[in-house]
Amino acid sequence: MLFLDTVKQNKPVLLQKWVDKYYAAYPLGSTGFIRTSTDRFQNPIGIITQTSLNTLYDAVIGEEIELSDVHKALAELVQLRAVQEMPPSRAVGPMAQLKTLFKEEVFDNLVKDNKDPKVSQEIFEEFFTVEARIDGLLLLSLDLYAADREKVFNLRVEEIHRSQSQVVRWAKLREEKMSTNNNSEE
Amino acid sequence: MAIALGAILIILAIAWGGALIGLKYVLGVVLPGLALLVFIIGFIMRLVYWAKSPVPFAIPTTGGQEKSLDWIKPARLDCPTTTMGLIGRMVLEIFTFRSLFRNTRAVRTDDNGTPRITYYSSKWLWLFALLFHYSMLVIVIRHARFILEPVPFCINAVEFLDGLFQVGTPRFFMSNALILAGLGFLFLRRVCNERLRYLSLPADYFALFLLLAVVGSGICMRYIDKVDIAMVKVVLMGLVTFNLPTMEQVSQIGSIFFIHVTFVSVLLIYFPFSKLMHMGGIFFSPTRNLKCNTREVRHINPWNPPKKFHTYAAYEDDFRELMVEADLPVDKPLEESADEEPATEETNEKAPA
Amino acid sequence: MAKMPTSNQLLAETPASFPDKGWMDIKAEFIPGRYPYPAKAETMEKMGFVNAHTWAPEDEDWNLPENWEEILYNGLKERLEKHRSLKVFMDTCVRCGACADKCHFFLGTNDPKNMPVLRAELLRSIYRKDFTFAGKILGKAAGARSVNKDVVKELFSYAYQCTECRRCSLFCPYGIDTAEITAIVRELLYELGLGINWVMEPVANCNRTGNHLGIQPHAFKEIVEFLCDDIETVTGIRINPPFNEKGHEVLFITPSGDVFADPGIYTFMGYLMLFHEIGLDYTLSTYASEGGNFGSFVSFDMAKKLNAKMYHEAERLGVKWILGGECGHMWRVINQYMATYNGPTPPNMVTPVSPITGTVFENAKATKMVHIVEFTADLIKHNKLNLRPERNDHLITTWHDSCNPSRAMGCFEEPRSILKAVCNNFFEMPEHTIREETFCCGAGSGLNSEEVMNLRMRGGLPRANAVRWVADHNDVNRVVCMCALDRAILPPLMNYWNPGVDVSGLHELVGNALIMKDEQQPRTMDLRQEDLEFPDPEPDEEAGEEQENGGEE
Repeated sequence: MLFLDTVKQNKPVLLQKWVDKYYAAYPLGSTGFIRTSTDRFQNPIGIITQTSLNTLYDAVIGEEIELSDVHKALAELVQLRAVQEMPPSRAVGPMAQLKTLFKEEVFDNLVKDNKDPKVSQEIFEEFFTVEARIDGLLLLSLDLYAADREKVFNLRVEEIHRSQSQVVRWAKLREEKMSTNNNSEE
Repeated sequence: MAIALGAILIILAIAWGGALIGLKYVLGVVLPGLALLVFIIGFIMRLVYWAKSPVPFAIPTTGGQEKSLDWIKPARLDCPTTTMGLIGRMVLEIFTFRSLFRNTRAVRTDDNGTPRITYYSSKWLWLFALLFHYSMLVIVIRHARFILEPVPFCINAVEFLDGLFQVGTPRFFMSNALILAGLGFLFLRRVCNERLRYLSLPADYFALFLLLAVVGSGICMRYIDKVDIAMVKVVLMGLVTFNLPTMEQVSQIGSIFFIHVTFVSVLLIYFPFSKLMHMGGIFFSPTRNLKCNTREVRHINPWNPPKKFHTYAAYEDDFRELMVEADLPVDKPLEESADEEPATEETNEKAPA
Repeated sequence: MAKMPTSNQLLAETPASFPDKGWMDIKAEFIPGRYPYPAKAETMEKMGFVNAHTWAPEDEDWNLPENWEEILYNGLKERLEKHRSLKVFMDTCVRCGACADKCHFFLGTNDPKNMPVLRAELLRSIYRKDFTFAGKILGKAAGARSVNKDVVKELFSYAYQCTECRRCSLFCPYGIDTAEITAIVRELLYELGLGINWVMEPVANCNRTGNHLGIQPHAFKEIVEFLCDDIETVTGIRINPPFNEKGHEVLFITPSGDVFADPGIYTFMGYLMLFHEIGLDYTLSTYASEGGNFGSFVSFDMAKKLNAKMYHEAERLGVKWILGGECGHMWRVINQYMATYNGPTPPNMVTPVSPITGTVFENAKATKMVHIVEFTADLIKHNKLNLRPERNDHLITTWHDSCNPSRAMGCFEEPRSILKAVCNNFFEMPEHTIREETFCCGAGSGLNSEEVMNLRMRGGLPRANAVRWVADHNDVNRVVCMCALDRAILPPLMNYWNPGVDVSGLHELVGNALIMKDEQQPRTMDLRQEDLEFPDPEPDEEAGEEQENGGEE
């Protein structure tokens, strides 16, 4: 349990680094602000990013979490990124960077310090499990991202429909009337 | 920031150098005299410049419930409809920075079951801005003793209160510490807050440094490098009574005085051309100084252009047939309108006064 | 093996701070989804813009008129002479930054130039260069810069990332109003022939046909009659609203979006049902059928031009006063500009008096125009309406204060009193996100075109986020508002951020709850023709039912 225990103990530091990877993608990121403001309503981007990643971190290291909560956290996070004018890789990519973080900050050191093959084996296994979970989340992010983009385009279409719903109704009725008139004339 | 700091150092060098090479009369009498003139004329001219433009529209920001139905309590201060309410809003705005105070908010966070309240830096902004401005006011009032003889009671009273702690000789004035704290905060905020650093202009730092220099040299003169206060008073009294002091009187005062006076003069000269004019601007702000009774009383726009719009007659001419077909009432029946000239597209009424 | 970039390389970090370059050195970017489409040159010409021309935001060259610098300089000079507000707002800002995090666009996009102070600074820097002593001699050190074509582009970009919601002006210690600055920048851009289609098209339509979609009078009437058909389906009552008829007491004007667009139509149906129930002596007009003033997104003169039609029609029809529907910027214009623009009112108009309750609307003495929520709140207070709020029991509502009725009018308690009377479930959103501190829907003032949907989703995030709070904590499923633009803008915003939360106008709920005198059958569906979760009891059970209800309480 060496690897999992270490990432659990160092959660505050590692989580913050991970959150920073997400913030870093904002092109003109006024990230100072995203970081410092703690008001849910004044700083939605920051707070949503932090709370979502907090949940996802726990999920990745195998804490007991409802699957629906994991899904909700991921959805909220991706939704935020999907309308931020960044390329898809950048929007969902920082998920993969958690692997790098774990490797560089925890895994490498543990492997170096441990000569006991049995312990090493365990560290490797744990790391691979965590990696697989991250991959899963990454794939799920991809689905969510695509769905969100689809949604935005649907919203655009729906909005056009909504904004002239009654005019369309009128035009359709007109058309029907015309065609019935024509038919009766014939 | 470097530009602003450089400018301050240059001013310091000029003042110090000038005092040493014997330009004390220029720095101590001519410059402040000129500066005062520039300040007064410049200040008035800026007010006149603003006042010359009319206020075409009443655009108060309503910060509370409007006055509508008699069973709904209106916000008398935030949405004032009476002159008293308006005066109240302006007084609170000017003396307590009420809009800035709105900024303050306490955020309740839950820290493992213990509710915690965090305050925002914006609260600090309000607090330190208030500290700075009031200290500044007290200091200006205190300085009136140098140009008034006999010194009025109220000034002595302010001084007494300011030095209430009775610490040290000469007595330590609270306002000196508070103004430094205020300026220090405003400066640190500008440097440390990423957002603010990004939007700050050299002018913003210059104003802060200049004020710090004025305060700094003043404190220096009072507590460290003391000067002949009696002679300072003679010189300044002379200046304001147009009874110009002699060269000899002026030269008896130490250099630090001239540095202080130079900084003050620069401040006075700079004032009317800079953002420091917010002191006058607040009185002119149409989102604050107008009543929120815009549906009750018509606000007059002096340049209200003539009405020019698509008239009903033109509209009817455009659609008469369709309207008649749809049983919509028309002003002119179809047959009548056939042989008439169509109405002009737009009216061009004279604007009512 | 081919060299594959690693994920870390692909995601190479940008420095996690503000850009190294000063804001003056960063050019505005035009990427799809961030800018609204330009207006057609012919439409602009028709509305009298001499420099109208064809251009595209993503093009390098915007085909500005040859003397564009002169136009800009003279335009700014003229406006400084006309508006004291502009002079004062240009001179007094101390850049304290109190406004920065008050802007929903800054909160949603994190672009520093969306801080209200920097948005204003874009114009201020030009002003300093041309009109201040310090700026002329010190240049950049005094925060001045000369204009070039990139600056024009920048002005365009950020004037159309501001919804003129005035939230910043509330917190500014000097009351600097970014809406005023944005409005003037937009005026200047229009002089250069740079306008946006989503605003210009409705302006031209409102001018000629009286409504924003350019629907001709006969069709307008027929569409209103559809809505009457729908009312009949729901209530069994046939309403035949009068059009363009002379000699009525009241002229009713509402945004034409309420007639054409979902879900505004349900609000419109609510109005008609209310008027029918109380027997109001009113008429609609096809000529002045647009309450929302699209001209106010163009220029003061254009706003005046469109607004003038209201009094013109009131005079022709000989009405005593005008009742105005639920709308945001319509009320900004009516409450703060109308009397100034086009007053004094025609001689046939008098201070509005509610014919039902006798309440005199002294607060509308000059404009002679009453907001429908003031009117309805008064009716409910005097018990003139028979309401069954249980019909809205399937809704758990929250109230969205629209920017203009909030910060340019102060209309807070009236709508809340109505909402509480017609719906049993009401929860406020958290403090600091409502009333005068309300967050904008993210797309007001001409920004709700579908091409900027990305931007709208970002700009509306602070509002959506506050709704999410009550949706999560109180199961809120309906945002109620009194603004036609909100009714167009909030549905996609909610759909994206808070699926399951829908949007209604206030009078839709009034229409649902209203028990009408000649209603024959119990109501089984709401105005959207969806089955009521708690339908009216059958007439014979009614007595028993009511007792039961009474017993519960």
